[in-house]
Amino acid sequence: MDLFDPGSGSQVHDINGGILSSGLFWTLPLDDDALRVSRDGRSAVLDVEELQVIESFRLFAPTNTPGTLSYHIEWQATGAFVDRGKDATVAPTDPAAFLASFAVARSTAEFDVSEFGFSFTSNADVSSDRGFAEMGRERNGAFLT
Amino acid sequence: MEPRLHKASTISRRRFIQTAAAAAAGVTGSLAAPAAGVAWDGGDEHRMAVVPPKPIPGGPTLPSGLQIHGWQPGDPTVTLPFSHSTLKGFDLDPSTITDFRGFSALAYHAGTATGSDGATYDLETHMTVLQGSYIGSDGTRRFGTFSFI
Repeated sequence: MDLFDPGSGSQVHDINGGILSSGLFWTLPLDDDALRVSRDGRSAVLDVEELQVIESFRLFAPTNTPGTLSYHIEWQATGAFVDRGKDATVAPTDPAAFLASFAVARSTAEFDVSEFGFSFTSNADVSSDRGFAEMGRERNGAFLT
Repeated sequence: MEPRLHKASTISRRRFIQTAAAAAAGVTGSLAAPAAGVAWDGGDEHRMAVVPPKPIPGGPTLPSGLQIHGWQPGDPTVTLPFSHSTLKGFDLDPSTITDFRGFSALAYHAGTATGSDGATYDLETHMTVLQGSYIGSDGTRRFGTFSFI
Protein backbone atom coordinates (compact mmCIF):
# COMPACT_ATOMS: atom_id res chain seq x y z
CA MET A 1 0.00 0.00 0.00
CA ASP A 2 1.48 3.27 -1.11
CA LEU A 3 0.91 6.93 -0.32
CA PHE A 4 1.85 9.61 -2.80
CA ASP A 5 2.27 13.33 -2.32
CA PRO A 6 -0.48 14.81 -4.53
CA GLY A 7 1.64 17.86 -5.36
CA SER A 8 4.81 16.21 -6.58
CA GLY A 9 3.40 12.78 -7.32
CA SER A 10 6.28 11.25 -5.39
CA GLN A 11 5.80 8.16 -3.28
CA VAL A 12 6.23 9.03 0.40
CA HIS A 13 5.03 5.87 2.20
CA ASP A 14 5.22 2.16 1.33
CA ILE A 15 3.46 -0.25 3.66
CA ASN A 16 4.31 -3.87 2.93
CA GLY A 17 4.55 -7.33 4.40
CA GLY A 18 8.32 -7.75 4.13
CA ILE A 19 10.27 -10.47 2.38
CA LEU A 20 11.19 -13.75 4.00
CA SER A 21 14.60 -15.28 3.35
CA SER A 22 12.75 -17.95 1.33
CA GLY A 23 11.69 -15.19 -1.06
CA LEU A 24 8.08 -15.18 0.11
CA PHE A 25 7.13 -11.72 -0.97
CA TRP A 26 5.00 -9.23 1.00
CA THR A 27 2.77 -12.07 2.21
CA LEU A 28 1.58 -12.40 5.80
CA PRO A 29 -0.58 -14.94 7.64
CA LEU A 30 -4.03 -14.01 8.89
CA ASP A 31 -6.49 -15.66 11.21
CA ASP A 32 -8.81 -17.86 9.16
CA ASP A 33 -11.89 -16.08 10.47
CA ALA A 34 -10.64 -12.75 9.07
CA LEU A 35 -12.16 -13.74 5.71
CA ARG A 36 -15.81 -14.39 5.01
CA VAL A 37 -16.88 -15.59 1.56
CA SER A 38 -20.50 -15.91 0.44
CA ARG A 39 -21.83 -19.33 -0.41
CA ASP A 40 -21.92 -18.51 -4.14
CA GLY A 41 -18.39 -17.10 -4.03
CA ARG A 42 -19.47 -13.77 -5.49
CA SER A 43 -18.82 -11.61 -2.44
CA ALA A 44 -16.19 -11.56 0.27
CA VAL A 45 -15.26 -9.47 3.27
CA LEU A 46 -11.82 -9.30 4.88
CA ASP A 47 -11.31 -7.76 8.33
CA VAL A 48 -7.82 -7.53 9.78
CA GLU A 49 -6.84 -5.79 13.00
CA GLU A 50 -3.39 -4.46 13.84
CA LEU A 51 -1.30 -6.61 11.55
CA GLN A 52 2.42 -6.03 12.04
CA VAL A 53 3.81 -4.54 8.82
CA ILE A 54 6.84 -2.71 7.49
CA GLU A 55 7.03 0.89 6.33
CA SER A 56 9.68 1.30 3.62
CA PHE A 57 8.72 4.87 2.59
CA ARG A 58 9.55 4.10 -1.05
CA LEU A 59 9.47 0.92 -3.11
CA PHE A 60 12.42 -1.28 -2.09
CA ALA A 61 14.04 1.53 -0.12
CA PRO A 62 16.70 0.37 2.37
CA THR A 63 15.15 2.25 5.29
CA ASN A 64 12.43 0.36 7.18
CA THR A 65 10.40 0.96 10.30
CA PRO A 66 7.69 -1.19 11.90
CA GLY A 67 4.03 -0.30 11.79
CA THR A 68 0.58 -1.75 12.28
CA LEU A 69 -2.14 -2.04 9.65
CA SER A 70 -5.86 -2.58 10.15
CA TYR A 71 -8.05 -3.00 7.10
CA HIS A 72 -11.51 -3.87 5.87
CA ILE A 73 -11.92 -4.91 2.25
CA GLU A 74 -15.07 -5.96 0.44
CA TRP A 75 -15.29 -7.67 -2.93
CA GLN A 76 -18.43 -8.05 -5.02
CA ALA A 77 -18.25 -9.92 -8.32
CA THR A 78 -19.55 -7.90 -11.25
CA GLY A 79 -18.97 -10.40 -14.05
CA ALA A 80 -19.24 -14.08 -14.78
CA PHE A 81 -16.63 -16.57 -13.65
CA VAL A 82 -14.21 -17.36 -16.47
CA ASP A 83 -11.30 -19.77 -16.72
CA ARG A 84 -7.80 -18.34 -16.29
CA GLY A 85 -4.31 -19.80 -16.48
CA LYS A 86 -2.60 -22.52 -18.53
CA ASP A 87 -1.95 -25.32 -16.01
CA ALA A 88 1.23 -27.40 -15.80
CA THR A 89 1.83 -27.42 -19.57
CA VAL A 90 3.83 -24.23 -19.08
CA ALA A 91 6.98 -23.90 -16.99
CA PRO A 92 6.47 -23.45 -13.23
CA THR A 93 8.08 -20.03 -13.57
CA ASP A 94 5.56 -18.95 -16.19
CA PRO A 95 3.06 -16.35 -14.92
CA ALA A 96 0.26 -18.52 -16.33
CA ALA A 97 1.30 -21.62 -14.34
CA PHE A 98 -2.03 -21.80 -12.54
CA LEU A 99 -5.66 -22.66 -13.15
CA ALA A 100 -8.47 -20.50 -11.89
CA SER A 101 -12.08 -19.55 -12.20
CA PHE A 102 -12.17 -15.81 -11.61
CA ALA A 103 -14.81 -13.13 -11.87
CA VAL A 104 -14.05 -9.46 -12.29
CA ALA A 105 -15.20 -7.66 -9.16
CA ARG A 106 -15.61 -4.27 -7.53
CA SER A 107 -13.80 -3.73 -4.26
CA THR A 108 -14.01 -1.06 -1.58
CA ALA A 109 -11.64 -0.74 1.34
CA GLU A 110 -10.73 1.08 4.54
CA PHE A 111 -7.20 1.24 5.94
CA ASP A 112 -5.64 2.45 9.18
CA VAL A 113 -1.87 2.55 9.54
CA SER A 114 0.11 3.55 12.59
CA GLU A 115 3.87 3.82 12.93
CA PHE A 116 6.28 5.73 15.15
CA GLY A 117 5.65 9.41 14.44
CA PHE A 118 2.95 9.05 11.77
CA SER A 119 -0.42 7.49 11.11
CA PHE A 120 -2.99 7.71 8.37
CA THR A 121 -6.57 6.68 7.69
CA SER A 122 -8.06 6.11 4.28
CA ASN A 123 -10.97 8.23 3.14
CA ALA A 124 -14.33 7.05 1.85
CA ASP A 125 -13.29 7.32 -1.80
CA VAL A 126 -11.05 4.24 -1.79
CA SER A 127 -12.21 1.64 -4.30
CA SER A 128 -11.09 -0.41 -7.28
CA ASP A 129 -12.98 1.90 -9.66
CA ARG A 130 -9.70 3.33 -11.01
CA GLY A 131 -7.92 0.01 -10.57
CA PHE A 132 -9.07 -3.57 -10.87
CA ALA A 133 -10.40 -6.43 -8.77
CA GLU A 134 -11.14 -10.10 -9.28
CA MET A 135 -12.12 -13.04 -7.12
CA GLY A 136 -12.62 -16.78 -7.36
CA ARG A 137 -10.83 -20.05 -6.82
CA GLU A 138 -7.43 -21.12 -8.09
CA ARG A 139 -4.73 -23.74 -7.80
CA ASN A 140 -1.06 -23.85 -8.66
CA GLY A 141 2.14 -25.81 -8.07
CA ALA A 142 1.56 -29.35 -6.83
CA PHE A 143 -2.20 -28.90 -7.09
CA LEU A 144 -2.03 -28.66 -10.88
CA THR A 145 -1.29 -32.36 -11.26
CA MET B 1 -6.68 -33.87 7.84
CA GLU B 2 -4.84 -30.59 7.30
CA PRO B 3 -3.56 -28.73 10.35
CA ARG B 4 -5.27 -25.35 10.54
CA LEU B 5 -3.49 -22.22 11.60
CA HIS B 6 -3.66 -21.56 15.29
CA LYS B 7 -6.51 -19.21 16.05
CA ALA B 8 -4.59 -17.05 18.52
CA SER B 9 -1.65 -16.34 16.26
CA THR B 10 -1.04 -12.68 17.06
CA ILE B 11 2.36 -13.28 18.59
CA SER B 12 3.17 -15.76 15.87
CA ARG B 13 2.31 -13.17 13.25
CA ARG B 14 4.52 -10.66 15.03
CA ARG B 15 7.38 -13.14 15.06
CA PHE B 16 6.74 -13.91 11.39
CA ILE B 17 6.97 -10.26 10.38
CA GLN B 18 9.96 -9.65 12.61
CA THR B 19 11.69 -12.34 10.62
CA ALA B 20 10.59 -10.73 7.38
CA ALA B 21 11.82 -7.37 8.61
CA ALA B 22 15.15 -8.83 9.61
CA ALA B 23 15.53 -10.48 6.23
CA ALA B 24 14.57 -7.25 4.46
CA ALA B 25 17.08 -5.32 6.53
CA GLY B 26 19.81 -7.84 5.82
CA VAL B 27 20.08 -8.94 9.43
CA THR B 28 22.02 -12.14 9.84
CA GLY B 29 21.89 -14.75 12.55
CA SER B 30 19.01 -16.53 14.16
CA LEU B 31 16.43 -13.85 13.39
CA ALA B 32 17.00 -14.22 9.66
CA ALA B 33 16.99 -18.00 9.61
CA PRO B 34 14.08 -19.37 7.59
CA ALA B 35 12.70 -21.36 10.48
CA ALA B 36 12.83 -18.51 12.96
CA GLY B 37 9.48 -17.17 11.92
CA VAL B 38 7.77 -20.44 12.54
CA ALA B 39 9.57 -21.68 15.59
CA TRP B 40 8.25 -21.65 19.10
CA ASP B 41 8.47 -18.04 20.21
CA GLY B 42 8.60 -18.66 23.94
CA GLY B 43 5.01 -17.83 24.77
CA ASP B 44 3.15 -20.54 26.60
CA GLU B 45 -0.11 -19.82 24.82
CA HIS B 46 1.33 -19.53 21.30
CA ARG B 47 3.38 -22.66 20.83
CA MET B 48 1.68 -23.42 17.50
CA ALA B 49 3.07 -20.96 14.95
CA VAL B 50 2.35 -20.49 11.28
CA VAL B 51 4.39 -22.62 8.91
CA PRO B 52 5.09 -20.30 5.98
CA PRO B 53 4.07 -21.27 2.48
CA LYS B 54 6.65 -21.33 -0.29
CA PRO B 55 6.87 -18.48 -2.81
CA ILE B 56 5.83 -19.01 -6.41
CA PRO B 57 8.95 -19.87 -8.41
CA GLY B 58 8.40 -17.19 -11.04
CA GLY B 59 8.41 -13.44 -10.99
CA PRO B 60 10.43 -10.58 -12.39
CA THR B 61 13.98 -9.89 -11.28
CA LEU B 62 15.05 -6.33 -10.54
CA PRO B 63 18.37 -4.88 -11.75
CA SER B 64 19.54 -5.22 -8.13
CA GLY B 65 19.13 -8.99 -8.44
CA LEU B 66 16.11 -9.17 -6.15
CA GLN B 67 13.47 -11.49 -7.57
CA ILE B 68 9.91 -10.47 -6.90
CA HIS B 69 8.00 -13.71 -6.40
CA GLY B 70 4.73 -12.27 -7.59
CA TRP B 71 3.01 -10.91 -10.65
CA GLN B 72 0.79 -7.95 -11.40
CA PRO B 73 -2.30 -9.51 -12.96
CA GLY B 74 -5.26 -7.53 -14.14
CA ASP B 75 -6.94 -5.80 -17.02
CA PRO B 76 -4.10 -4.68 -19.31
CA THR B 77 -6.07 -1.61 -20.32
CA VAL B 78 -5.82 -0.29 -16.74
CA THR B 79 -2.97 1.99 -15.70
CA LEU B 80 -3.01 2.74 -11.99
CA PRO B 81 -3.46 6.47 -11.32
CA PHE B 82 -0.57 7.24 -8.97
CA SER B 83 2.16 4.65 -9.58
CA HIS B 84 1.36 4.81 -13.31
CA SER B 85 1.88 1.06 -13.46
CA THR B 86 -0.03 -0.82 -16.17
CA LEU B 87 -1.56 -4.17 -15.23
CA LYS B 88 -0.06 -7.10 -17.08
CA GLY B 89 -3.04 -9.22 -18.18
CA PHE B 90 -5.62 -11.70 -16.98
CA ASP B 91 -3.59 -14.90 -17.32
CA LEU B 92 -1.15 -14.13 -14.53
CA ASP B 93 -1.31 -15.92 -11.21
CA PRO B 94 -2.42 -13.51 -8.46
CA SER B 95 -1.02 -15.84 -5.80
CA THR B 96 2.37 -15.21 -4.25
CA ILE B 97 2.43 -18.73 -2.76
CA THR B 98 2.90 -21.97 -4.62
CA ASP B 99 1.36 -25.39 -4.01
CA PHE B 100 -1.86 -23.58 -3.19
CA ARG B 101 -5.51 -24.39 -3.84
CA GLY B 102 -8.36 -22.26 -2.60
CA PHE B 103 -10.09 -18.91 -2.60
CA SER B 104 -8.26 -15.95 -4.08
CA ALA B 105 -9.24 -12.29 -4.32
CA LEU B 106 -7.21 -9.40 -5.65
CA ALA B 107 -7.77 -5.65 -5.65
CA TYR B 108 -5.93 -2.56 -6.77
CA HIS B 109 -7.55 0.33 -4.92
CA ALA B 110 -7.10 4.05 -5.46
CA GLY B 111 -8.32 6.97 -3.41
CA THR B 112 -7.09 9.30 -0.72
CA ALA B 113 -5.96 9.11 2.89
CA THR B 114 -5.58 11.66 5.66
CA GLY B 115 -2.37 11.66 7.65
CA SER B 116 -1.77 12.52 11.28
CA ASP B 117 0.02 15.60 9.94
CA GLY B 118 -3.32 16.81 8.54
CA ALA B 119 -2.23 16.33 4.92
CA THR B 120 -4.23 14.51 2.28
CA TYR B 121 -2.34 11.87 0.34
CA ASP B 122 -3.12 9.84 -2.75
CA LEU B 123 -3.46 6.17 -1.83
CA GLU B 124 -2.94 3.14 -4.06
CA THR B 125 -2.95 -0.52 -3.16
CA HIS B 126 -2.30 -3.98 -4.48
CA MET B 127 -3.97 -6.30 -1.97
CA THR B 128 -4.63 -10.02 -2.20
CA VAL B 129 -6.21 -12.55 0.14
CA LEU B 130 -5.66 -16.29 -0.22
CA GLN B 131 -7.40 -18.97 1.83
CA GLY B 132 -7.12 -22.69 1.34
CA SER B 133 -4.81 -25.66 1.25
CA TYR B 134 -1.09 -25.20 0.83
CA ILE B 135 2.04 -27.28 1.19
CA GLY B 136 4.17 -25.48 3.71
CA SER B 137 7.90 -25.01 3.79
CA ASP B 138 8.07 -28.12 5.98
CA GLY B 139 6.45 -30.22 3.23
CA THR B 140 3.21 -30.69 5.15
CA ARG B 141 -0.17 -29.98 3.62
CA ARG B 142 -1.94 -27.33 5.67
CA PHE B 143 -4.85 -24.89 5.63
CA GLY B 144 -4.28 -21.19 6.03
CA THR B 145 -5.20 -17.63 5.19
CA PHE B 146 -2.68 -15.14 3.80
CA SER B 147 -2.68 -11.58 2.59
CA PHE B 148 -0.37 -9.93 0.11
CA ILE B 149 0.26 -6.37 1.22
